[in-house]
Amino acid sequence: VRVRNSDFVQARRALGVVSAGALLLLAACQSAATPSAGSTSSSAPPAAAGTSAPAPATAKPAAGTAPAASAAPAAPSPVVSPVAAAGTSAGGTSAPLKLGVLLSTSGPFVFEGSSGIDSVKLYLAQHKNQLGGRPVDVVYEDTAGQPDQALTKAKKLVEQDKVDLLVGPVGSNEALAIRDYVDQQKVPTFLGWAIAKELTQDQASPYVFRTTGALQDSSGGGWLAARRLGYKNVIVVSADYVAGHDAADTFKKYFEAAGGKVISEIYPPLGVADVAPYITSIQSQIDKVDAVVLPQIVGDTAIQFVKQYDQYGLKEQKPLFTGVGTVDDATTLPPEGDSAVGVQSYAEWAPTLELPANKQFMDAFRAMYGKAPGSQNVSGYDVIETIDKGLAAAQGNTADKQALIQAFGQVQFDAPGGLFKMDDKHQRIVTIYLRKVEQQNGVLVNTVSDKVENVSQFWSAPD
Amino acid sequence: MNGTFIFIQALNGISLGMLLFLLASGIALITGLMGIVNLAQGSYFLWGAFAGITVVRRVADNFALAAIVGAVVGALMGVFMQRFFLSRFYKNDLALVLLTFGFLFMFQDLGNWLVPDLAKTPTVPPAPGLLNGAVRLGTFAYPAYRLFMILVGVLVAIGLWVVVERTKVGAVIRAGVDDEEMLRGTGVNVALLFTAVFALGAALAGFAGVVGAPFYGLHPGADLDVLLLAFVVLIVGGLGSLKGAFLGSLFVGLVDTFGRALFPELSQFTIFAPMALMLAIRPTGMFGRV
Repeated sequence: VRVRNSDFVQARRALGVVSAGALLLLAACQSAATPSAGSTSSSAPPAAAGTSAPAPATAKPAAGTAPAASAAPAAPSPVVSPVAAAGTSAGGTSAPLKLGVLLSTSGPFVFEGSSGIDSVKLYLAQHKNQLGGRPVDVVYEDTAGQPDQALTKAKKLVEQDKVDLLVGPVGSNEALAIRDYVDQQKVPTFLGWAIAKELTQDQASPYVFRTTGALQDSSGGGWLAARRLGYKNVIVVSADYVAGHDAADTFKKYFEAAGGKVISEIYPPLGVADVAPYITSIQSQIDKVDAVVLPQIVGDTAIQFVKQYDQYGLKEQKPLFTGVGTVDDATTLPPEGDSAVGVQSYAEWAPTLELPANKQFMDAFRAMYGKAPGSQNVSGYDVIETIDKGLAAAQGNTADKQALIQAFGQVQFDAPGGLFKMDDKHQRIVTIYLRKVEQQNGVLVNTVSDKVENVSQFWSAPD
Repeated sequence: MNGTFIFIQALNGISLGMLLFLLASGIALITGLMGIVNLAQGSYFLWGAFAGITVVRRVADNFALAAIVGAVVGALMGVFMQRFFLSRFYKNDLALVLLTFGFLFMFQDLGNWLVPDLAKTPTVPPAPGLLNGAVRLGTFAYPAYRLFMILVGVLVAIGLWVVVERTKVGAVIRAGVDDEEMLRGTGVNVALLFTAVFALGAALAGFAGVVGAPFYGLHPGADLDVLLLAFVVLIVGGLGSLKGAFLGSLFVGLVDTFGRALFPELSQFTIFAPMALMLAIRPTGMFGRV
């Protein structure tokens, strides 16, 4: 039955409904606004970020003592390993290895997650579905980018599927959520995206390995800006969330230590669509600076920023210097088009790196997927290659945990971005490349003009 | 902060406002006549943009054609929803809001499935041809496309004003806003009128998607973002009034732009504070009729 109602003046009712609708939308936006959060960095919970800042005093001693803690297993292992090796050759190093892959195929980190899964599949296809000499049985689980779900799925993988190793989740908040559990369960876990620094500092675990840089690109970038590009004064623009502030702070720390000065900082909301107000603000102070630096501007905000920086005529005045996500070869660079030509950036990898390992990776990826890889694919490839190489060093033996984590901690190989190695807190030490967008054979790519090596999480920059 | 800064930021604000107007005017028409608060309007925007980009990439590099296709896609989606679903629930406000909210999510997932490369990764299509450059304004360069956006907004506003205020169809629509039952009594086919106005409102959103994509960009969740701004416009400007939608759009565009330029960390506050204030002081908005 249709309700007929001649009361047409229903101001309050209609407005109530609109307000309710607006509230629903606000709620929905909270969950939908993060997808473009993007690229290498992911948000850590504010509390976690807060703890690392006010407590450097406690963090430092921890940093000093923890190497001893993680070195401790090294001492008994020569004694243990022959026994263990004997024990497990019976236990079956030829039995399939169970690998749990805890990446998101939905939610805010879907792009990072699916890029990583593509690389895992590529690597396994290249290596006859074997890791460390053992056939592999991979179990994929979706965390949806939610910390609670990451923990639930980690428990499921460990207790129900009995996985030997875990590829950890994308988000820093997710990684922090499963950190205690994998530590207690002694399941070696490999992180390729989560960058919250406490994961390899005051909350480091012998069972957690980070195969990507933790803000080290921003450290190297800050130094390169001052020493190699000769910038004196810059404006820093970075997204207004934890990872955006962390990246900007790290850049600023190393840039100012090397003699530069950040004269203005702008933090637009994460995922903001219309960047015109910020561009115009920059325009009004462009004369005072040598460059505009974007440590963490990603997703469509990055595309907008690079295009509008050009269209508002700023590109011809002062250069842009950015983090990896702003001109990522697989995502943001193609739509930016000619506006991106000449933009310089700092990153742990570039598609044009003249390294055999990189060429192999590029060719294999193109052959399998018919497109060029981006930095997210490299992160996934590094994770799975670390597992393969570490496991091979341990003769495929996952039963002797001490020998296993020692083997992982010491693994070295030629990764697409250069020599792969980790420090004693299981944080990768990286090379940071100075890159520039150029046109090659009609395609825009990041070329490499300079680099700085051995950038660790506690890097002290050269003078 | 000097004259040029204010002038350029004002242009930024007005061009954003004009995009919001394309979206808000459609909602204003629909809400004014039918009392439906249509949250799926954001989906028409997004799908219009998807259709427009697909036309440019796959069919013909013709922006005008893309804009027409975008508007048609929006209109078809609107007619589908209105004819088969919404018409069953007139006057049941809560059911209508929840129904359109459900459609918003369904269209989002359908988009992920139909055009995954557009729906899942951020996309900013290039502006067409000549508009993809800059115009010199004194010593400053300004993107031509944003000026084009202002022109489009003003033309649409004039067009809508002429239709609603100066034609017989407009008179019928206005009569429907004031007293639907009396209009029915005079022999007007109100069901058809409702569908037609719904189609027009939806077409405006689809058109806004095509025109807005080059400068607003598309990203997962863009449908909700633009919709939220459009609702702020409607609350400030007043429901069901085109004049309110126009002035509200300008107001919100300018406040948002200057707020973000001057107080970047307070950008959510500077946009919603005027809305809360307006609701407290004058709940019907500047020119609200409903």
